[in-house]
Amino acid sequence: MGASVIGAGVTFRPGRARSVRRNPKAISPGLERMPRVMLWAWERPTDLRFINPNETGVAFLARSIRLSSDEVEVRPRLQSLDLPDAAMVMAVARVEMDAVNKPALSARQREKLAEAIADMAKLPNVSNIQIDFDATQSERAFYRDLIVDVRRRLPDTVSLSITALASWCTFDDWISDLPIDEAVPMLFRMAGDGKQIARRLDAGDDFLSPACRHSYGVSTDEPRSSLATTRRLYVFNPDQWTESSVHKIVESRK
Amino acid sequence: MIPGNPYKAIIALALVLSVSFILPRRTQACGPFFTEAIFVYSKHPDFPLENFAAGKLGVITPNWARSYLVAAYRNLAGIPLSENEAKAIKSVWDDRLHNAWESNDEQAIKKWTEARKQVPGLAAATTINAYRNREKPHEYESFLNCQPDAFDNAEATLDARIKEFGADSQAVRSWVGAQDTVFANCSEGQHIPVSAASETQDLPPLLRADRTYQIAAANFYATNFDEATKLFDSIAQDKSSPWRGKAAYLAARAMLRKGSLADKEDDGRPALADAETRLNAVLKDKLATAAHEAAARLLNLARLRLHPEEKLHEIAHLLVKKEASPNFKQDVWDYTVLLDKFLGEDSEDEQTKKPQRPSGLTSDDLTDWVLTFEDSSTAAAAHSLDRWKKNKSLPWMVSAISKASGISPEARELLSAAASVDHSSPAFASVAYHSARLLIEGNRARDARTMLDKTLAVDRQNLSPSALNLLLAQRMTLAQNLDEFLHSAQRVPAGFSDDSDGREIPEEETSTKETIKDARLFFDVDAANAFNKSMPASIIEEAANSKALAPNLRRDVAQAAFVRATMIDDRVTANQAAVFLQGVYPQLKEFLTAYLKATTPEARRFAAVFVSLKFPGLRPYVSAGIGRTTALEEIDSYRDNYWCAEPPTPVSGSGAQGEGEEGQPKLKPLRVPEFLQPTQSLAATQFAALQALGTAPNYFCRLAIAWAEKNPADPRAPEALHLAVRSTRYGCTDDQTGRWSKAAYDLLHKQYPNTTWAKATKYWFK
Repeated sequence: MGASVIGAGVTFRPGRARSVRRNPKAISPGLERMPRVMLWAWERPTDLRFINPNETGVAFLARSIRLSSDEVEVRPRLQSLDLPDAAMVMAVARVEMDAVNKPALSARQREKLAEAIADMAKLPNVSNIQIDFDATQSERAFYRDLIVDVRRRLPDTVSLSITALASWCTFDDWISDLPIDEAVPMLFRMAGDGKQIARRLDAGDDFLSPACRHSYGVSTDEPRSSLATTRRLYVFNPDQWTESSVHKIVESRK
Repeated sequence: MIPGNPYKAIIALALVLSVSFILPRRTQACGPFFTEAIFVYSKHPDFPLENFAAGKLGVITPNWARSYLVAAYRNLAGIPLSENEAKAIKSVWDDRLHNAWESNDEQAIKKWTEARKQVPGLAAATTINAYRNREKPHEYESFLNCQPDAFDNAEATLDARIKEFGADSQAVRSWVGAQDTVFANCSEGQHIPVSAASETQDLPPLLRADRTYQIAAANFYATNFDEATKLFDSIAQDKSSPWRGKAAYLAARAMLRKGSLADKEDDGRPALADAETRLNAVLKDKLATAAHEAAARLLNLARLRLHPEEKLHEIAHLLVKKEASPNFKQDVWDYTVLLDKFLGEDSEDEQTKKPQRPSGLTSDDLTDWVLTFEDSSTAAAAHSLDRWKKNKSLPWMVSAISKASGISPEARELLSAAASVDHSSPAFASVAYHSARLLIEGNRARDARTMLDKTLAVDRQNLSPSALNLLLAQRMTLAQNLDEFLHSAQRVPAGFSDDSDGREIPEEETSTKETIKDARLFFDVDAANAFNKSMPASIIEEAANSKALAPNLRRDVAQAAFVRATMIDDRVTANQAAVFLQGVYPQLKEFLTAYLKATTPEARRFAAVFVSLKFPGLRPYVSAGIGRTTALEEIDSYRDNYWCAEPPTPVSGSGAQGEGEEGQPKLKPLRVPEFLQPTQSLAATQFAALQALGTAPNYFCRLAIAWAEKNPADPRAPEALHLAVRSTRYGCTDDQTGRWSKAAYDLLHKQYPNTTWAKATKYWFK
């Protein structure tokens, strides 16, 4: 008998035994408590005082980190972020590579980077952190070790989320055995076979990687239908957030 | 120590920055990223940008960042940038394109930490973080509290004190201890050194003065700005203090920072006004000349916040005069940031609040031109025309002709003025491009052709690659025969980029070479579209035989002609293409021979499907840009295999207008080249027939099933079924694919259960 499969048989990395490994099917209580809609607040002045903290949370860019040669350059958030008092927040670190001075991706660099990321957990009311790093093939081993290192540094009460290219969640899965609480499949600005992945989601198919089955990452200018409302939705907005744009998203998830 | 140049860090707080140059970016592609050919840069002029600064402007584009428009205006207005100005503005572009990190605080901290090691017996330095978190309700925001100059000044002072008192003296140890306390405030807390009197009575007077200064500085970094101001004011009155000369300036700086860090903009105005008054006083004080340069910079900052419109025009007037600006880079930076502040961001969200645009914003010519040129409204077109008619200046002529329509009454007058623009003028490429556009829009194809041919013959070498490609795109639509078409359809890209962040930054040459091998010429979207949508298969085949085409393009065109012709049963064309393909792709020979030998339409169709199944890179379309880089016989890892019903189109290129919904390219309406107009009906019929066959995997399954049912003994049949199922996994699929995949899978296992092909086919795919 045959079986309907999306991407079956594609090379999986064998699971590696690590003491810090988490069950990717289980989501941490800290992350579970977060609202079902999370707005990404990027490095720009952002006023979200109007959100209802019970239904909308904020994943704000807290650190911009650039790897350059053997250095790790860390910038905290420099732009304003106005929130209501009870807002639920997640701190996000964006990791970029210096295009000119190619990073060494050394162990020292990884340690410094892990320290800078884990340090976000010290921010007020932050018990969830997210790494946004579009690692290329050649950077994956470094990223894998980084995630393990960050996880080791974080208290158990702090959840670790990563953003993931949609291909990582489907046929190019190298993330399933990582010690993370979730991988947010980025369903916008998708290159390569993005259209195919979107079509398959619309047809009701799901991601192969269990870590990718907790949430979606979308953008306000690329609306997606057929997304399970039980999953958390992270939303990027290339424009400023407004009450109406947030309201539209919240309503669409009801 | 407090730095002398606080400029950029404070401006980050002082102004609402445009998102176009702040870091980092999450606005663009989410990858994976592939090398793309860029035929016409849309976000900025061509590289190297030095050429642009030097007046080789290409076709000036309204959606370039305003800093490019400033350089364009200067060149068009006959005030070319001096060498220094060109370097300065190039530095602005570099910083913004490469998201330059503005400060080198970590290096400065490192240097200070090293310098501190000169003093023996000190405890190891604690880690210094130059950024300080703000207090609630701004607890997630930081600011660069201790700037590089602070550490440089500390290092210089330490050297001086060591020279005077000795590295192992108690005086120096005491000084370093206090300085450690000062820097402890950089990232958090309230750490104030004890007064000299409380510590010891033995400190020399110089060290006592230092301590008073360190206490003031500690208050500054601890954000006790009023206290810091009071202490600096008192140092300014202390004739014996070595810090007297800069204390008044530092008091002003404390006020400026107080104003910049206020919770609300209005709350900060009194402190900013105080800073402005103090800085004006410093600049008048002949005893404080050492602080004048820094004070002038700070005053500029204060005025940017307090009187932005006045400051904008002030800068605009400086920018249009040769060498008038003492700091051209900073002025271009401030000018464009101020415009961002006044105009807000471009947004498609109607609810996005736009700042109130001051009525006098366009009262200087530079600002008027920049804002009009980037505006696509009819009012902007009318204003450009009006300004040009009044002043006959080149900037306004370029703006007017860029916005005019070929059927407007002014077109003739503009064309006439354009004809008199010298070929060496920085306006030439823009004027040539828009003249051709006006002629085409005005149904003067012959004149447009003559003009373009002359320009392409005479000025080709002087045009930027993007400008050349724009003119070639125009010329392609005017082609009267295939040869003309092919000469203007194949183009050298202006650059190659993975465009991972939407900034069209060229990738390293070695990476590009790995991807494109020896190919030099490619089709842009408009040319590929002409092949794919407006050309009958027989003309595509004719193109493949043309020696005017580059070898890589001939191969691509030939395979498109073959696959397409087989799908629409154009046997003559398919046979001719097959013969050509045998020569350029020896690996296809066996399968093409089978096609050529097939005797019935069904047998030919199956033979064609079989070769397409064996070679996942074959497709009935010509590729735009670099195209598929995986070998023809290999499966591409990113599923660029077995075609979709609709030809693929990259986002960039002269046929595209950026992104539409869901990140897909928004195409310009296709303008059919003249020589193809008589065959449009045939081309449209063929294209519709191709589309009706659907996505390749569905088509393959259907034909493989039909062939296997009628010809069960053909040894190719089970392999074709296996490959058809494989194509539903790796190829372009739609909502019918699952049905076809299952049908092929079922037939394979039912009809050929013991074959290696059935055993190798474990799943079907949807």
